Amino acid sequence: MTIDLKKVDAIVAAKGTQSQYAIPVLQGVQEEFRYVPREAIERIAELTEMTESQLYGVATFYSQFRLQPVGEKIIKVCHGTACHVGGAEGLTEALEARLGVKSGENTEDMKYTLDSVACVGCCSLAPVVMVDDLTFGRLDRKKAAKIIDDLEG
Amino acid sequence: MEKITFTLDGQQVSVEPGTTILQAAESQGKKIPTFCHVKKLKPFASCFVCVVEMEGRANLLPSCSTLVGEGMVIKTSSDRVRKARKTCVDLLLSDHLGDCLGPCMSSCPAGIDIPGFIKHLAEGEPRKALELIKHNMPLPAILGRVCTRPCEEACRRQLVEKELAICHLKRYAADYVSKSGDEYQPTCEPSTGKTVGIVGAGPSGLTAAYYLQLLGHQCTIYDMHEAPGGMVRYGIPSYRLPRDVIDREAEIIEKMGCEFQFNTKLGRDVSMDQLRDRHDAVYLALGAQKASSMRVEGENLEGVLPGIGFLGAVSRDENFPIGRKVMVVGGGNTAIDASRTALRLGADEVSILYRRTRKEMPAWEEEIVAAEEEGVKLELLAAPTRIERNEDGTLNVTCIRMELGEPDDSGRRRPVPQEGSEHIRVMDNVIAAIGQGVDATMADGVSLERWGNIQADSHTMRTSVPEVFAGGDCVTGADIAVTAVGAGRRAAISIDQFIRGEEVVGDERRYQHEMGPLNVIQPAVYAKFEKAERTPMPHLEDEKRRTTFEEVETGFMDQKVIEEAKRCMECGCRDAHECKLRDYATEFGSSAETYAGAHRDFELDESHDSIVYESHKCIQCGNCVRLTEEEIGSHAMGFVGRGFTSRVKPALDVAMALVGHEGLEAIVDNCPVGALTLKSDSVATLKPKFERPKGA
Amino acid sequence: MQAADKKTRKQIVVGMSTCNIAAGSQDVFDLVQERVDAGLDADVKITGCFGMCFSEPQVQVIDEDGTTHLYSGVSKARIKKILDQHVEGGEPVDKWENHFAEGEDLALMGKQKRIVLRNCGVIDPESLDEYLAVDGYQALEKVLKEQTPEEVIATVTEAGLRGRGGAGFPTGLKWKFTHGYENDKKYVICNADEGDPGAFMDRATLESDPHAVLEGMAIGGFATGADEAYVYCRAEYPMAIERLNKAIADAEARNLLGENIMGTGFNFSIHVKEGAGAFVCGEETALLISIEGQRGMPRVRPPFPAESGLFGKPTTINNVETWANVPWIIRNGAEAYAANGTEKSKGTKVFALAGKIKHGGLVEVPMGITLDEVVHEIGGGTGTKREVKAVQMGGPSGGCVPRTLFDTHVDYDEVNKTGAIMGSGGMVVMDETTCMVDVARYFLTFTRAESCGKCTFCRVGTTRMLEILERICAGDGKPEDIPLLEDLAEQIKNTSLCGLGQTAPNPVLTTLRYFREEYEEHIHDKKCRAGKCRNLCKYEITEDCTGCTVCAINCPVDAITGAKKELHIIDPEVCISCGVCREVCNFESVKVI
Repeated sequence: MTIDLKKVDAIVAAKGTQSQYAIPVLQGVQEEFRYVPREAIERIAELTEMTESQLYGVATFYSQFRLQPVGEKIIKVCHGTACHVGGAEGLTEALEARLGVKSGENTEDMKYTLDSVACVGCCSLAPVVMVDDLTFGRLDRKKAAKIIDDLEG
Repeated sequence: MEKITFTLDGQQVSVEPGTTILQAAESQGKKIPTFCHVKKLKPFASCFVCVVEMEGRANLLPSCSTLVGEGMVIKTSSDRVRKARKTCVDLLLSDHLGDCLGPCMSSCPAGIDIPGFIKHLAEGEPRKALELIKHNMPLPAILGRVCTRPCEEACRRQLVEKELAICHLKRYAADYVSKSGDEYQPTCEPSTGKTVGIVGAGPSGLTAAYYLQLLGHQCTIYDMHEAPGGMVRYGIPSYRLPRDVIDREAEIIEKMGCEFQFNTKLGRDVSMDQLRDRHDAVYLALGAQKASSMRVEGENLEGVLPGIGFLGAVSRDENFPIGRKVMVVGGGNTAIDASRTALRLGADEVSILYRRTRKEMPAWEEEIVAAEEEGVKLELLAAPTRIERNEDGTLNVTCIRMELGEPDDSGRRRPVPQEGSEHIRVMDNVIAAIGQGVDATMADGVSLERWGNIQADSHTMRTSVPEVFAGGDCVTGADIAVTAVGAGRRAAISIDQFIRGEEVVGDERRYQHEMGPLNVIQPAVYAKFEKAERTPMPHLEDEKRRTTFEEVETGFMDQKVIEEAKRCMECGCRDAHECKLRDYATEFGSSAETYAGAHRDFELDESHDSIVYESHKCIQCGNCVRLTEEEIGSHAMGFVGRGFTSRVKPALDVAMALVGHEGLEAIVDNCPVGALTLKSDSVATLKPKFERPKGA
Repeated sequence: MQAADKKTRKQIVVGMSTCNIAAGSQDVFDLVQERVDAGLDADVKITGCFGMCFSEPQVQVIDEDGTTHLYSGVSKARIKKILDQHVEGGEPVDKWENHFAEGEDLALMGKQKRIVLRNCGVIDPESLDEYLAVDGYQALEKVLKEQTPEEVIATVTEAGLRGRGGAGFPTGLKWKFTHGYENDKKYVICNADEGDPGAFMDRATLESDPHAVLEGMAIGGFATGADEAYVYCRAEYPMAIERLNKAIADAEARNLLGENIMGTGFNFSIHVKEGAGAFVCGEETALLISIEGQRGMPRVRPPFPAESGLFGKPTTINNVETWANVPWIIRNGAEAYAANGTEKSKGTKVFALAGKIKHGGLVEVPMGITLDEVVHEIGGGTGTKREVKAVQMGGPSGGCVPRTLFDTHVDYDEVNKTGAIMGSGGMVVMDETTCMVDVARYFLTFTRAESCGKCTFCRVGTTRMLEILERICAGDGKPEDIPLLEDLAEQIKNTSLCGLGQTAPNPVLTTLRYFREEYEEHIHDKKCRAGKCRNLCKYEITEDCTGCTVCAINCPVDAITGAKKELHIIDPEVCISCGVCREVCNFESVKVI
């Protein structure tokens, strides 16, 4: 896959070229492309004082960054303590069954990516699931699967 | 600035401010172990093997990065510290995949540097190969013919197609040098003036003599037979091991200065007391000479021969008279040797009676096949119950059929007699080849095991008498020759230590990391090797085989040797002799098993022209990453990922080929394990000179 | 609750924190906005989290006379009726107003002392004016115009404020260290990388009262001599980041932050740095390295950040809750603050109550209150027939405190004695359906995944501990696993570089200490009494079954049969022991056997 490197150039211009801006630059790239393409890393290294090994090291260290394309919507099951105690594993199972993928995978039509997250800080409404930036609370297996039904409209 | 004073292991020490505990300890001559400390780099504190204890602190501190403070009380080797270091290495080992030594080498009881000598052969250097072999094993021509080859059983080449012909290559190296007319004769150290008495001129005694002579000690070998070789001469027929081969290798030892006193039996011609008087140390390598009883009525009748006695007699007289119909009882190599020998003496019908099935036969498969090819008949699941002698001198052997029942302690299924299946077979001779036992009652004053073997430490070979050592079959019970060779070598090292008044600790024992048995080897390990069939051993033509005692296996042709040697996969680690992980594992007694669990996958990158990267061996110390970042500026290596699955990789996970050449030697030098090595270094140790092991 | 000033129109205040939205308040807000746009005579406002998450979504209707009606559990249907009947019709919908059983209200609110949460759920977090209306930025003005940095440090020291991030280091002392290092550049950092699963007070504070945190930081900057600051906030908190950025822009626009603040010559600029998902970045050296654009791998201390922190400059790092306390302390004085709490732990602490608890949410209590008061009186217990078994405190670095120790007074030192830690204040309540071995396994899964991978003991050791716990939970535990686990735990604790590794074994050590018999049951009896570990339990429906069919409907493998109003039966051949039936049964008639 080739990407529009001009977009990368613009992100670098906006965020900065010093090595301290590695994370914001990568976040900008991910916001643009929804993942961090390899070509973008190569391009950033060309343009800035950041090295490929720094960028790649950072991109693989922080769980926010994805190096592979993702589905249109990212569904994250929270596995915080309260969610765990409240049955988060069941939600993951239900969503896996509903979407036909394992946690960490994209659906074949690239509409959804199912993932898990350590804690979204919504513990009092546990168990919760985040769809992109939206949080759904007080779920059970049925309600979790229903989120997908609603998205499918 | 004023110096800082602190207490290091009970001693007051003053250092400049800004000194780390590790530096301070080094300035006092105390070496603290560390993987991740590189002198010219900033402290990193990742490996935690350098921890020390500070009074008043619950946590242990990484000494590489903790600055000395005024009045600190530091302990560098308390119980807690030692325990933490052991655990640190335990944990690192549990996520380390590789072999220190190749499986062939680690399974060889004599510890021959197999990849090393094979490499010499592959490079067309048979003499160098032989010298390397002799570093561990002085009888390659003998063992090259009779060894049961535990090395080949372990050989990983089996996963590609078939094991390497290690043993045949070893024989080739020895034969090549002999045939060259310029026999390899090692140079011995100057005489120490000390003497060692060795009882038994078998493989173990000869080996001990070889290494003791090398170290400058005068040896005398006493043997009850009339020629050297022990069980390999009197228990193995000459068509497998020609007698001149034995003589040749014994002669090398004789030329080193060893004296042989044949026809001298311990307890009859010479006593233990005399040996102890005469010599500074004694090595008992008596072997297992006593044929085991069949516990069958009539086994002492004329015409019934003990297997080992029969082979010994034939060894002395190739015209030993034998009948037409011969039955050999037993399933081991001696039974096979006896049957094939009987054929060569002119017997028409030779059968082997074995009480279990072929699968359970302890004899070597190739030998069984050879026997069958020559006409020996196997009669399985049968055993003799009684022997009677007829007036014409023939023997009536009553046999009974067996069937296999429940497995016994050894895991083999126990044979159970089938009632009413008795039948009589008429034979001229019965040869009982059901095993040998040890008779060591003549070793006065030396403690024996309950079953008659000599009690000796399996590593130092010391017996209950301080200056007496013992090894080989007389300690282990009947076992394979190469094990006896290993014991002889270990004994020589211990005896040398004893004679020199040092603590007797035996040969150095080093930690050995292994990928595991063949069934757990990841396919990536052998995927890169293309199939190349094992070179077969040429045989004497069929008609000669049955009728003469000429050597059946005629040896490799020169041109085949390089081809075969190149099949070696060079398992083992290039860094095995400098690896810190191995050193510390040895020092702390660590083990990969303590915390066995998920571990790295095999991932070999040989794409670079001068270095090899094996990330499965990496311990994440970060030395290469920091060197490329802080010193070299190439940023070639970086940390990738997080936590247990984080790895050290070239940027963007490219092949090593793309990382260039800048500062690579420094990186390889500072890799504490064998993850980054130079291609030019060899897996083989290539240490041909026999040296005393370094300390305990 | 009383609104600050009377308005002539009714006000509709919708709780719009992440938790409210997760409970459904966005739909509610949209509906209200729609009606107001269509001509409904009322003002619409938003506010943050009041802490009573259990009753979210929450909507307040403030009458013209200032009377506040707090509605709980406001669904789309309910808001329609509230708008019709109350806002239009003037008749409050009494049955949906927040009502408590007798005494409960008193316990829930009466035992609390709100300092950090003083404005949360009260003011509009997106309005600087509302913050100013509750005396916002007065503390900053006071220190800038009337005090020296030394005086500020003295006040904070006298107040006895200790770091609320977990370790409880005295804040005044920390500031004093940074103050003492001469440098042309110094930094202030707000650690908003609230990574402990089960803790959410920092999120709620940032979403509900961001200016309080910013004001605290500016005061800290003045006291330590810093002119630049970062809020390091986790990316999982998008709303907090948004509100922080708005708050900073608003404050700068009014000269409350930025250059020459209030004409005093003091400069102080704040940036928001979005974390990228790494728990270890809550560790201060990792956090600094992360702001510098590197992998968040902790380094050795000393040097401490006070001497050499961000970009090698003296740096003061405190967490959200600590900073939020500061303006209150300056305004009300050290004495007023120190009047709360115990001898060594002054002031209040915010706790996030979650798990098997009736009143899940945020509570702020004076230090020294007992765990029982927090869990049972304020939190209302499990809210079911089941009893509380333990409370997990301090997240992955903390431990499980059993009910028998609920008389423990909540302060740093007392909590440490139990083997748990105060931590950032997460309290996850567990009942008898919680398996303590599974909880330990859960936390090790977390720490193993979050270990940066630098040090041997943490990188490999946590994986090995997890493997042992996994095999115990799977029914493959061996008797020697317990001593092996204990030994490894002790060693990881003592031989790790940073807090993550040093505390990672705590959940295992505390559960082994208080719930050892559960481990033994798993290993020897192959039994999980909580019914959590699938390989170790089977389920049975008891005579109490009412035949409501809920279990059968929810069973993912259709293993339950039974006619309506008749006893249901689980087919053991089909059952996968997932435990859903037990989760959903309203009559506690599914039993673990």
